[in-house]
Amino acid sequence: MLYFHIIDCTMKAYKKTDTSNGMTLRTEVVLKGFNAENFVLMLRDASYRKKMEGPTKNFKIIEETSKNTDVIYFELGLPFPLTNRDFVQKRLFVSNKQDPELVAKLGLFNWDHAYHAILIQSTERPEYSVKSSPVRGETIMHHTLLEEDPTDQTVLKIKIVMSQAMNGNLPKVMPSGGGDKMPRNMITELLKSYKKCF
Amino acid sequence: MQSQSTPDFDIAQFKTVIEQAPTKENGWDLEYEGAVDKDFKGI
Repeated sequence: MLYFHIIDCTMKAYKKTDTSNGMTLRTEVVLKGFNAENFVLMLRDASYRKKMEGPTKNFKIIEETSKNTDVIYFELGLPFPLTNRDFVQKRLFVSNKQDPELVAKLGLFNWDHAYHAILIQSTERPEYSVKSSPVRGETIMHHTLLEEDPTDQTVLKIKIVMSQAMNGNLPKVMPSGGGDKMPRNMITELLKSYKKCF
Repeated sequence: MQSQSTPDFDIAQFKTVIEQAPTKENGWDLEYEGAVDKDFKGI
């Protein structure tokens, strides 16, 4: 089943300033007319990533390490005079309907209704070594759950919890001032990208 | 055929942070609540 238009979208965005050089963000979105498989495809597939809105550039899948996992590289463009950041991340994609054995093996949620879990954490690759520019950022966690509403399959609930350390030198005002709108910006960029891709 | 190995992903952390309520007591500040498709143009 494919949906092509976002009919309704409500969002709650939270932040937790608990690190010296970053913050933890949480976004909860309820969408109607939004397809979870397309959302996952957009994040996972390099050809869709190139069409996405936002400050991410030079996205590459370094290696598909299994049917459900890969390792990626990308750069995060920051406004002048800040130095761009780059990230090497490992990603895990699990659908409870497509990967029931993996759900059981990992001990993920044992729910009847459909969901997709996306887990992302920083990793290292020798061919993508740390340089002075861009500065290597660290993704402590970037967890996403896309959950179909059990009573209405056209309604999708998305929860994203992300904690990143930007590392390097940043103005004191940046983590709080620049980060205030990060959760909502992240979602609006994702939704604009979705409309552009599908 | 590719395997299903999933090394070093913190599943317990995933379940905890996803299920934990984002309350003040848990250190969370609500910074936006609204209808995104109405509040932001171009979506």
